Amino acid sequence: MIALQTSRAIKFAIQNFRRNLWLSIVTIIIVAVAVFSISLVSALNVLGGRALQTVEKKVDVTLELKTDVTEDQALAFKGRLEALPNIQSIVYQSKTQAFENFKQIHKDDPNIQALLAELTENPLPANIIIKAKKITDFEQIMKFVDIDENIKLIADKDRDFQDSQTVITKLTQITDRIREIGILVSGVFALLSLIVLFNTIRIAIYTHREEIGIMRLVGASNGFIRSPFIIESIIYSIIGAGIALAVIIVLWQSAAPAVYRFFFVGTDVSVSNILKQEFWAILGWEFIGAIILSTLSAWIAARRYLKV
Amino acid sequence: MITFEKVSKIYPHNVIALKDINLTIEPGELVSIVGQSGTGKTTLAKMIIAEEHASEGRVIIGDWDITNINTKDVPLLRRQIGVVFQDFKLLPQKTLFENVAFALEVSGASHSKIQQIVPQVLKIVGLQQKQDRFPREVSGGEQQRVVIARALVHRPKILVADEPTGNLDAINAHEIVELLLKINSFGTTVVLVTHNREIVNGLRKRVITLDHGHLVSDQATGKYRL
Repeated sequence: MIALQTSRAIKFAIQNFRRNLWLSIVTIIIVAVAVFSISLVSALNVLGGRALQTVEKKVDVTLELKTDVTEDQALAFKGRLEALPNIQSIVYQSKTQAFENFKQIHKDDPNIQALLAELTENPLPANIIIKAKKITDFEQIMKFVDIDENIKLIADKDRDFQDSQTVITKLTQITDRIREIGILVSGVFALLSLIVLFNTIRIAIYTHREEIGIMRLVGASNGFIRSPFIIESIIYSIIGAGIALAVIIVLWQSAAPAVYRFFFVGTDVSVSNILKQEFWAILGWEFIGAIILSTLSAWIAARRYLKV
Repeated sequence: MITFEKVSKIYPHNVIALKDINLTIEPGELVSIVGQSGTGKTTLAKMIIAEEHASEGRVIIGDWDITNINTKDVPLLRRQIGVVFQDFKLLPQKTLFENVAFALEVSGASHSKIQQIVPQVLKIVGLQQKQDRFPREVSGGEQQRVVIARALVHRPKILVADEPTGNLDAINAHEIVELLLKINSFGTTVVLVTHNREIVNGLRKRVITLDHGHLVSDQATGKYRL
């Protein structure tokens, strides 16, 4: 019985959809525009967040150790640092390793190679490269580095992180602002689309008022009368959200090189992969959102014609 | 049996549609409700199908007091009472067969039941040959017969016909009345709301006369008096 009623409701919904094709197309366009706008803002949010993460990952602090520091002392210092909770990774480079790395990096530069060949001893200090879990953790880590037991081992601190921190603070502010504006804009679009969708569905239901009247007269239950409109709205949502997502995917892929240059230049971040990673979440939320909004609209809009 | 006990219907601004109506219609009767426009005939018909509710008194169908019927029970009531209106209320984009089948579809009848019942009721109203036509392709009388067929699909015990001949010429009106008599002869109670003098006088059945919301006459074999 339920299966029969559902299949009839779907049949009526598809009939309604086809017989009011223009209204259906307009509704789908409205849903698509709303979903597209919200997606665009979400995409900016995702990109901003990823850009911030990328910058944060690139920041490290190199502690150059004094030449008289033994390897045991250096490893003990490394061990003390590793015990800190906010360390992401820590790498110890002995003098030899540092020298080999330097040679490796500059292997294509004949001038440097010539210079290195003339050296009688390794001028590079051993060093420790620290990456923090968060950029803001560096402040605390550096305080630990500054205590007597540790500072006496250190010849120089690469304070680049301070500049990075300034950049990151600014980036964080910008992404936070983007997020705030994004939420506001998404909210406004969601509200607008709810109103427009509600109105469109009301018009759709208004065009069927005669049919609804007849349904009521011949003993159709309110649930049965309402269900084709709700199914019709779900069809609008699925097609509308589908179109919006298709446009977003095409746009994203074609804009990926430009986005990479703008946000991620010099990193191994793949803009296409970000979409792949986020796609199912975006897809899920937007479909669920669109379906909930349209069902709600249809439910409320149909109420008026269902008073017995 | 249809029972009205001291029923009044008062619309906002103290507009009285019906006042203190006491009335009993026995199963299998054919009753004409007559009166001039605005005397409450249609309100009375609508109360039988719970489209209007009494302001005072009680409306009882069989053993069922529908005065304050629950919204979810209204469809159940309407599947037991056939309704025919002056303006047909057919769906223009559906064929005659589909229009009749619609009443069964919305109440959850199976496909095989629909295929069995719809031809039967179309045969009763004499439209079997035209079942694939659209309403615009048949006459007004035929459209009204489709409406009657649709009202019969649930095999109702009661058929309420509100001005069923209002939009029809004399010949078509006569055919509709013949059809109502035929349905009544099967044992269905028929409540005919009309202001067509000739029809009422030709029926020689019970006539209830309303005037300004009051029941002014109830004759077992009556005539149109106003």
